[in-house]
Amino acid sequence: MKSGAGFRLAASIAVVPLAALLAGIPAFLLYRNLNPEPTLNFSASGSGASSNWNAYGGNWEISNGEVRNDSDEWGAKLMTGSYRWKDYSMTATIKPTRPMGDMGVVVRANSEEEGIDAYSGYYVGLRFLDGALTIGRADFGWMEARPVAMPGGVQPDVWYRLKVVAFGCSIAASAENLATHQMAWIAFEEQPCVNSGRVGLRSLFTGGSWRNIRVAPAGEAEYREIRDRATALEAPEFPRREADFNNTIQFHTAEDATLISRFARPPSTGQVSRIGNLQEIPRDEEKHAVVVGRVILTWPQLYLQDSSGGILVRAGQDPRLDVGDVVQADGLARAGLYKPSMKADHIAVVGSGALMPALAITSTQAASGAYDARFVEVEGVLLGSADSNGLQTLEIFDGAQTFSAILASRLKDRPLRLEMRSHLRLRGVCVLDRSFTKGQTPFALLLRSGDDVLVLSGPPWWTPWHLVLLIVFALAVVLMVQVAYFRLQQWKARVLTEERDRLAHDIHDTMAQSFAGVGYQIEGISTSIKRRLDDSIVQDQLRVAYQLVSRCHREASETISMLGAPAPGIQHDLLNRLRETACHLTGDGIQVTASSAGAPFPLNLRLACALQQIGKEAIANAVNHAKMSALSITLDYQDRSVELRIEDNGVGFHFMPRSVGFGILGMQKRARDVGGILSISSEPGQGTRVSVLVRSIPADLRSRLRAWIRTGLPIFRIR
Amino acid sequence: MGFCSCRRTQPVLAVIPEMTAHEVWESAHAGAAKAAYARTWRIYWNGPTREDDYVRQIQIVQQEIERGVAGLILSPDHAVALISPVHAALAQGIPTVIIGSPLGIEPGGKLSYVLNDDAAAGRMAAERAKRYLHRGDTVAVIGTNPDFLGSIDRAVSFEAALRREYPEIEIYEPRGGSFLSAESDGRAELAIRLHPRLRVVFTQNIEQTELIHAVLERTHKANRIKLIACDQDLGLMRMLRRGEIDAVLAERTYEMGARAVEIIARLREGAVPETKVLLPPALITRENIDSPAMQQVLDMNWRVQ
Repeated sequence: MKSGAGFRLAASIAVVPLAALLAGIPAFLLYRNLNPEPTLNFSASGSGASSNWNAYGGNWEISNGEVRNDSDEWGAKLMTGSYRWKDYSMTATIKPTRPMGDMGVVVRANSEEEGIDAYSGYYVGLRFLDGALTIGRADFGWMEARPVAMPGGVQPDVWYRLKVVAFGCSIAASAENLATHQMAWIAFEEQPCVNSGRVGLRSLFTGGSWRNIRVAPAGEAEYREIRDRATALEAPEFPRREADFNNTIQFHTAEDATLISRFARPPSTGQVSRIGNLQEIPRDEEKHAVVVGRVILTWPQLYLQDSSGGILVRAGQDPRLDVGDVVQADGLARAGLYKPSMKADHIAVVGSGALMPALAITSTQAASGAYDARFVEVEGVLLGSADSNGLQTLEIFDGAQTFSAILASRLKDRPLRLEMRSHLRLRGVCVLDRSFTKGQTPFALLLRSGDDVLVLSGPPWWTPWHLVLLIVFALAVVLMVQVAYFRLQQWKARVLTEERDRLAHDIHDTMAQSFAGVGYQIEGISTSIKRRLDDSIVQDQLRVAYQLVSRCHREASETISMLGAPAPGIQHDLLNRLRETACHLTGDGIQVTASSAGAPFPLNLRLACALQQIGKEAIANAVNHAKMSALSITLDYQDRSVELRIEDNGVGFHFMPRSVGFGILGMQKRARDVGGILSISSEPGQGTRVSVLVRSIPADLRSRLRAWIRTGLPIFRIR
Repeated sequence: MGFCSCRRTQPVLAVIPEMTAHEVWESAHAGAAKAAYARTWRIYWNGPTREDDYVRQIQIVQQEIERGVAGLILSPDHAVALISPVHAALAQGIPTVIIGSPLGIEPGGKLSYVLNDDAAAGRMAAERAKRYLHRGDTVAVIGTNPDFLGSIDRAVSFEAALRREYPEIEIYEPRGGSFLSAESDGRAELAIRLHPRLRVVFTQNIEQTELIHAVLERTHKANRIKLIACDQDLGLMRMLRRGEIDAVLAERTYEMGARAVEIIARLREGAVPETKVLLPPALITRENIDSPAMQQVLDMNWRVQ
């Protein structure tokens, strides 16, 4: 028993996690199916390349396998891949656009955020400042290895092939100037290290392009191939103090040193005009002017802005500028309706490094023209989206004005996917040109990239589709309630019918039998009187009849009591009640014994009542039919069950289950009602044995819970 | 020191500088990291990529409040715009220490200041400038910006100290110049041309120092006009070593970071720490830059183990 109970206990304890596991496996498989893990064989050069990039700052474009950052923002990152990628190589050809800052690739990146060093991982790049291949550890801070000089330095507008191998806690990298084929190698180790993470592209203080980006599994052989060419194995330990930097960074020449200043290029001669003042040029006149402004948009038109306003600049050829560059433009300027424009003869970069902060305005202010050609920020609700000729046009409404937001980039691989009626915050250059507004809206915003769109909140829940869903759901709930109500009514009717059956059985088992006995006694009395028998005999018969009437009365009271509050104490005193019943029915001529086995415990009231009725029926049958001399009543308390046995030594009978009478059917039903098993065994001359075995149901919920934990039996009985 | 690598059981302090990757603030990172490491606390370090990007700084502050950091150390990018986010942090019961330049509110309760002594900085710059001044010379003060209250204190103190000795001296102080104004370059060049007796330029931030340095190099005035700068930066230090910058008034940001952590520790313990600490800057010149004391000021090793 103990081992069986232990097994059931263990099984019941295991059921919950097993069920959770079984439910979790399909959920996990579904999740994996919906969110497939990128494989560690990644190429961004082909048409079918992965484009699941995440931008952290910068102004990124992806076109024909080339990724370009058109901003000088410090530490702009574009990330992709899996956080579970461990040992791999990453190759890319890169081209910086400015003689400043650095650019390269990120490996084993985790916890990326917007910020210069806001990630945990490793960066390998080419730095203009010291013309070096550099590698270091970023962990929301930066600590690098001693850089390795790149032969010929690092030049703008030159393609370099960068290869990085991350194996274990070792990282090795090589860089090759694809014009001169000069190379540099560096090897690096950190203990402990970041042993897995995503890949990314990163630039600092310069824009640039990345091509042929590939990631593939790598082993020690690939690492060794580069490591053996590096002069030393470096570690992230530099610079701790300013003197470290001064001792380590080596400029090639004094001339190079002057180039590090982002303001070193001399601007052209001529008086610099404030952009806003160019609106004072007489209409239909052009005037030579020099302006200095920050680049706020490069594509599809070039816009500059200073503190007085913005200007549209048309250059003869692509000046390859980055957003954030400070440039000096000379050329013929003319005033426009709201903004000046310039046909530039010469554009020179005179500074760089940061983006212009957007001016937050309302759509009505934007429509006034006062902010034409300025970098602004406007909020609104998305009403529509359309693509044509490489332009993605969003229709926006902010409660006062409807306007267009045009994503005029070459982001063919990364179109904006926004939900209609989302509340957006958009940053871009405000223009009133009809070429963009098409005469349909008062103004348009020219967005620099998808990152200029911030979703403040999704669409409201009460869209027509959601309302339809809600109505369907409500109808379904009403239907379910109705079905439940009808089921309840049916169940109630069935319970009433069953209760009537039970009452019929009760009345048959008790009062009907007693009334039959009373009738029999009255008939006997009548016969005795007719035969003029002795008065003492008649008196005896009257006494028996009186006792039967009293019994009828008592049984009627008990039945009434059963219908109302249960008889008190029956849970604890079932055996004595049955013994009293037997003694009363049998009189003095029959030996009645009552005994219990096992450790008694309080029985559930319903169970005790059922056992009492079954016992009384069995006793009554024995008294009426068995012609016995002894009757035994046994109540056997077992571990998880109770068995009641009524045995007599009477004449017995041939028990045929298919032809039982009303009384036995009643006993069977009572046993079935409490989940018990009724057994009757009898043979002629062998006496009769009636037993009913029921599972014990503890009296209170806590005991039932304890029993469930111990045995695994259900807390609530199931019919 | 990434946030996600932090164990939840360890308190996390958010240290948010005016911007990252400048030595002046990396030193604060180092000081805070060392003090936090001694207490087995963790540091979350991140900031904007520009000193004037207070919008991004507010985003980071709000993000860290939502994460429920144990303390906030902030070098505000705007003296007024950051008041509400700091109040929000205090309302959440987050001890907050402002380092560098003050906010436009008084410290008290769970808000403390560990600031650069800007008045002392102005006086020290004036003392340095006096070495080169003669009667009738002009001095320029560049980078006074109301977004940084400390820059006003520095400028006022600098001018007062100069006028005590040179009452007739001309002080040119263009107002409203931002860090990144596109036309600053042209205006600076114009100012140099319009003031032939300009002898000293006192610049109050790194961007303006780089700009003036470039203009001086371009106009070949570097030998005649002395440049006294504020705030340490690796690039500026290199210029200092080459003699292109006369002196740099370095903020003791390493000590600010460490003191800020100590104050948060005391606030968390229920003690009442100092509500305002002023740290005098260090005047770094070619002569003393390699001294251990100055290199300690320029310590930026945040990877304490």
